[in-house]
Parts: sequence; structure tokens; C-alpha cells
Amino acid sequence: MTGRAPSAAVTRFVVASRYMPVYLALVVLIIVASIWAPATLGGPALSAVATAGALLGITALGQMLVIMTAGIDLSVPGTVTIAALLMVGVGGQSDDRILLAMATAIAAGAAIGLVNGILIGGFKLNALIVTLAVGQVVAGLVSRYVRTFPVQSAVPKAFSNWTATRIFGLSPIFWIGAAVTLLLIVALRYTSVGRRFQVVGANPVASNVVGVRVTLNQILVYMVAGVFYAIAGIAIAGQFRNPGVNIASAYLLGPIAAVVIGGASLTGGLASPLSTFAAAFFLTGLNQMMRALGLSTNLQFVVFGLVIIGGMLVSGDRIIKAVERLFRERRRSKRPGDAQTSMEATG
Amino acid sequence: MTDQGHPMDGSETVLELTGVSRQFGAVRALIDVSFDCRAGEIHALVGENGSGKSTLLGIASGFVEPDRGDIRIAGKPMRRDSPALARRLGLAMAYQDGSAVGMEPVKNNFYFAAPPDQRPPYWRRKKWARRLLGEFDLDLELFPDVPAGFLTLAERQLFEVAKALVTDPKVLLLDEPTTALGPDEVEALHRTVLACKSRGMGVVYVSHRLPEVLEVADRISVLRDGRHQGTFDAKSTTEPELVERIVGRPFEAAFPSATPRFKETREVLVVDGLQGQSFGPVSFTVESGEIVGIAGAEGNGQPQLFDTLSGRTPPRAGLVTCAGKELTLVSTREAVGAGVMLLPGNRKTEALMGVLGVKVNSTIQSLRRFSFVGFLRRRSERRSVAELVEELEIRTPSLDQPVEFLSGGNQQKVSVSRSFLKEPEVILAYEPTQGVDVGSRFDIYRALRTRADSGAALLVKSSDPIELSGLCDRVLVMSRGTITEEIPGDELDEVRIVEAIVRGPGMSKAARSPLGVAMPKAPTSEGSS
Repeated sequence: MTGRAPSAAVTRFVVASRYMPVYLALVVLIIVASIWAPATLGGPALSAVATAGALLGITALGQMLVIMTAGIDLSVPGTVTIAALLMVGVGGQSDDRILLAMATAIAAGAAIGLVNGILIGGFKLNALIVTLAVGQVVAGLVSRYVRTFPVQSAVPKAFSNWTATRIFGLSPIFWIGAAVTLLLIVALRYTSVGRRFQVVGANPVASNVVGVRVTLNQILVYMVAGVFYAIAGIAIAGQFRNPGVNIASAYLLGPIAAVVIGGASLTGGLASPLSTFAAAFFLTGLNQMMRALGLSTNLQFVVFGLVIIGGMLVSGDRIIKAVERLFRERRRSKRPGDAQTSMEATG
Repeated sequence: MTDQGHPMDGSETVLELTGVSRQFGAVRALIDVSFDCRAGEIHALVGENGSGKSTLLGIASGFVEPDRGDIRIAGKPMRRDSPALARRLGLAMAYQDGSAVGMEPVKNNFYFAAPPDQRPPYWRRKKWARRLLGEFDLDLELFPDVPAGFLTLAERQLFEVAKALVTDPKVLLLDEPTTALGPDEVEALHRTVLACKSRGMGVVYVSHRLPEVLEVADRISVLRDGRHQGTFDAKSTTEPELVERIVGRPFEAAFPSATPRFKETREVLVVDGLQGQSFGPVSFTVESGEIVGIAGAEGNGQPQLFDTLSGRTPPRAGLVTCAGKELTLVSTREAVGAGVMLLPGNRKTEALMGVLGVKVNSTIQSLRRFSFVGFLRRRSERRSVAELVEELEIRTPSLDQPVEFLSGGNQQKVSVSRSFLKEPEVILAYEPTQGVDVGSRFDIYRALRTRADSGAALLVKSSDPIELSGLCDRVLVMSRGTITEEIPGDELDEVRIVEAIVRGPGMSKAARSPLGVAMPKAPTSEGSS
């Protein structure tokens, strides 16, 4: 194989191109919104988008880590809900118990992740089905747990007040999301743990050959993702004060959509925390715009679904594949033809 | 160039390939090859690994599409490449890897192998299968209800032949049918093949074991580097004559010269009585600064030996020490920690993270060296990799170039570069130049030699005798799972290696399943799909 490698500039473009569409889409969304639904870009609406986008973003970042190992996590709604309800249950409306409640919620998220991780990484079960089943179990436990609450019980007052404050005009939830994004960018780019994790995602077989602990990485990723979902659940609890059992149903498809539109490779190894976070804002902004336009809820679902499909069509693997095909065809057309004429042997 | 125009002695030609060529990527697997097999004839096809035998069989059986050339089976042209069509026209093939459905019992495998009009009523298939097994006379006593996956390797190989015979073909292709067979079983197989011949079947017998071939074949065709080297009458040709044809003229290949070895060498890798899936027991040592080659035809336990030494599949028995430390070989991590580094043959699936860059792929085993309290020292990492890229002449536009965009040779260099950063005690290189362009080969040989000169012990498995004789200090020949011969450095040349491979000594009983039960064939690449 003596095919010439493409130039540095071309590769850099190819590598970056998978993360481009989400930023383009974000720009298009802002332009469209400013023309048709200027209300979307108003102060209160933007502030709402910042909070909701950050919530989606945090869960999407957890999902992104899982997808980087070529897995998928469908236990997000269950984990988010149980974290939110633990804030109510453990918090017991007492401001002294806020930290205890938070710790419990995060531990619950990690525990659910551990179960997922052991079943998927250790027992090599199918991620889709395992996480769906675990999510179902959690949902069952949640609805049982919620019956033990007094009616109209809410999270501790001090906590819900804190989430309602504004730091530089935006909710603390947004800043938590931004911090988590920054943390992941640093971890993936600048630490050896992040590097090994990326390698395991890109090729688990080869990672095993070079001596990286593949199973451990696969288990840990579900735990870290579980903690992220729990953080989102805690924030949701603060925002809604008395969360119900169906509070997180939007977090089944939403995070996956954000990861995909953010350009991650579904076969593992490649994803960008920043573009995933941006994709979460794109989806939230789109939702907000549709609401401002007065679209019926049914129609909102249709548009949302179509956008996800469209996002998959233009992002990530497909772009890389198209570019690759381009190179391969060029190489083939360059290969010198076999000029030899075969002498037909006559019997 | 060949003895075309055979006398028309009335026997019909059952398989005829005319002017067949096929190219895979840059590799020309077959170049204008013509081959025919008459009814009532055993026509053997011999050649080294990679000489084009498998491609030829693939084309004849309809699995591989030729770039040009015609195929006629029993006089009828095969216009499109379709295994089903080839079978309908009267061709059957016994595959080396086995094509039986492991979960299904023997009787069902037979049943589905037979063409629909020759199948018995479904509920009578057990009796039918038992009768067929008797008819084929392969000394194959199987319960028709045993799942095919439970057969021993030898039984599987014979079963594969039986399954091909179920279709009552006009032409039978046998792809290396004796790699797992002992002398008695080879005899049974030959008896069956000769019986088929006397019934007017044409048999194409592909093998690298010349004594067996000379015993049974009528004509022998030799392939080398995708070209037909001539067809010989088995009665009037000899083994040395064939070896000469198989090897061909020596052509120039450059190899780095071994710099004078250290005054004191130490035994780094000591393997004692190691036994694993489909190989063993093997015992050998590799000293520091030494490159030891592993030769042998495909399917004689080499990949399994490498998988076991690198900790990918646990051994059944035996002792391995690396630099004085005993290895349990239960995990790759332990082996890597002890200083054993595997450079796998299948770069794409087992060695490299294709979507990640050159730098990431290169330093993955030496991250500790490039990090400080968990944070990567990116500048020193870049510098080291940049130096290596220069030293090994890795052609890449940038250090972040995804390795899947590199050529095969450069990919292999990235894989080899790991051993420069980690400096392991033992390097296991499996087919280090497979799919590597000629230009890069020398760079890889030089890199491996550099590692040896700086004290590593290298074990190199290659199917290319020229490579083995040029690169290695001595060569171990594997056959049927054991080391059958050691060729010392002063005797090393291509002919000597090929002779050792084709001599095909008798099978040691130990190489077969010791329990008499069967182990499903060890997958060489775990989880690659």
C-alpha cells in the first residue's frame, strides 16, 4: 500500500470536521430565531435556555463518555429521578441535611453506574439492553420510594433558593455545567487517565494487547456517567422544589441526541465535550424557539425527532466516511492500470 | 511456460481456469494463471504461503472474483462468481478452517451440505449420515448426533472432506487437508481421495507437504508470487526439483547486518514445555540481542503460541520466564508489565487505535514516562515522538494524523515505535512486514535489529523464508504445534527453511487434543468482530 497520505491541513480539517456541524447549526438557529421568533433571544428566555441547556448538557456529557466506549446508557432518566427524589427524601426539608442528601444522591448515581458497568464491562452484556433494564428497575424503586414521602414535600429551602440565585446573570446550574465541561476537556486532553480511557474506547482489543485495563475502564465510565446524571438530578430537584417521578423522561433521548449532533463517533474513541455541550444548547434553544412560535407539543416532538435524524445524517462518522471515500477513489484512479494483456492459453 | 496442451486422452476436463489474474490492493495475488484438472486425476497445487494457492481456490470455488480470466467447471463456464453456482456445476471444497456449523450435529451438517434433490427425508437423516460416513471410508467414526464443534481438529478436517463428498462432486478441492492429521489419518484420507479418483472425480489437492503430495498426486503445479511456475508429472519429478521451483531464484532483498553481539548475553525468554490451545509442548530460549525466527506453514500453532506468550490466551501447561521472572500468562497486563511486548500481525484490529493520532498510538505503553502526577507532559511527549518519527522514517503529515490514514508500512512503524519508548525485554513480532510496502520493509527490519542490539530478545513469526533468513539469527520450524527443527545461523538460507517446512515430519500425538475430546479451534483474535 503505497497510497500517499493526505496533507496535514487536510487531515486537520477531516479530524475537526466531525465537530463542525453543531456550531454551524447553532449559528443558523440564532439567525432563524432572531428573524422569526425574537422572543427566544430575550433575557428571560435566554436565562431559561441556559439552565435547561446546562441540565441537558451535564447528562449529555455522561452519555458522551459512555458512547466513547462504544456503549450507550438508557438508565439516564431513572438515575436523574432517583437523585432528584433523594434530595427530597434524605433532605427532609431541613437545611442541615443538604450536603448529606447530595452525597446520597451522588452515591446512588455511582452505584447504578457500577451495576451497569459490571454487567457491561465485566460480563460483556449488551449495553443497550442492560441499561434499559437497570433503568426500569430504578424507576420501579423510585415510584415505591416516592410513596413514603409526605404530600407536597420539597427539597430543603436553602438549596432551592440557591439554585434560583444568579451568578453573572445566569443560574448556578449553568456554571456547574460549564465547570463539568471544562473538567472533561482537561481530563481527556491533559491527563494519562483520560488518554487511556480514549484508547480503550477507540479499540478495546488493541488496548488489551498493550496492557491497558479495559474492563476497569469500562466499569468506571458508567460510574462517572452515573455521577453526572446524579448531579443533573440534584440540580433539577433544586429547580423544581418538589420533583415528581416523571421529571426526567426527556433525558432518555435528549442526551443521546446531543452527543450524536455533537459529532461523537458511535463506534467509540472520538468525542468532544465542548461540542457536546454546545449541542445540548442547540437542542434546548430549538425547543424554546418552537415554544415561542407556538407550535403544538405534538408538532414539537416531530420537529425534535427530525432534527436528531438530520443531525445524524450530517455529523460524525458519516462526514469522515465521505471524506475517506473521496480519498480512496482518488487513490484508485491514480493506480497505474494493469497493462499486461493475458495470453489466452489454448488447450 | 507450462505444459499446456495436454494430450487429449479422452478424459474430460472438470475444472479449467484460463488466464486468471487477481489483485488485492497493491498485492498481485495471481498473475495470468491457467490451471486445469481432468476427471479421474489428482492435481496437486504447491507453493509457499502467499504464493496464490488460496486465491486460486477462492476463484475456482466462486468466493473470489477474478480481475480477468475464465472459469469452467465440468465444461460449463462460470459467468459470475457465486459459490452456489460453482456447487451446482459440480464443484465441492474442503476448507482448511472448516465450514461446519459448530452448534449443529454432524447429521444436520451433512443434510444441509447435500443438494436438495439428494437429501433423504428429514427424519431419516441420522441413518443416512451414518451410512455416508461408512461409504467415505475415512476411518471417521462419528455419532451423527454430536455437534460438529465437539470434534477434534483432526476429525474436523476429515469431516470437512466428508461434507464436501456429500454433494458427489465432479471436482473436489482440498485446501491443506492434512495440517491437523496424524500419519494414520493421512493414509485414510489418501485412500479416500484415490477411491474418488478411480470413480472419475477430479481432485485438486493443495498442500505444502511435498512427501504427501508426491505420494498421491498425478500432476503437480507450482505457484510462486502469484505466477504459475510449471506443471510436472508426479512420477518423473523429485522433491528437490520442486523445492527449487517453489523457492525460485534468490532475489535481492536488503537486510540490516547484525552488529557484533555483546560480550555477555543472557537468556531473557525461557519457554519450557509450554502447551496451549493447538500447540505444544514447545521449549526454547531467546537470548538478549538475538532475533529468533518462527517458521512453518500456516495453521501449525504459531498464532496460538504468540497469543499465549503475550498473555492473551492462558496456557495449559509449561513454564515461561522473562528476564528471570516467571509469568503466569493469565493477562496481557501482567505480560506487558514483565516486559513482554506483542506486535500483533493484524495491525488494524489488534495493534492500533485507528481513529487516534500517531502520537497517542505511539506512547500508549509509556504514558508513565510522559506524565507527572497524572498530568501528561505533552511537550516532552511530542518531542520524543517527533524524534522517533524521524528515526523510523514514519511518513505522516503530523503527529496527530489518525493512523488509519497511514499506509500499512507506516502503521507498522507506529506499532514498532512503541518498543522504542518502552524498551521491553522481549518483543514478539507476528508477521512484522505483512501488507507492508517493499520500501518500508527495510526500515522495519532495521528498527527490529536496533531493538535487538540494545538488548531486547526478539521472536519473529514470518511466513516469508527470505525474511526469516535475512533478519534472524536462527530459526525454529514449527509443524503441527511443535518445534520440529532448529536451523542455526550459519545454515540459514531460504532453501534450507523451505525444505524444513515442506518435509512435514510426522505428527506428535501431543499436538492433538490430549483428552481425545475436542477443543473448538482457538480464535486467533479474541473479540475482533
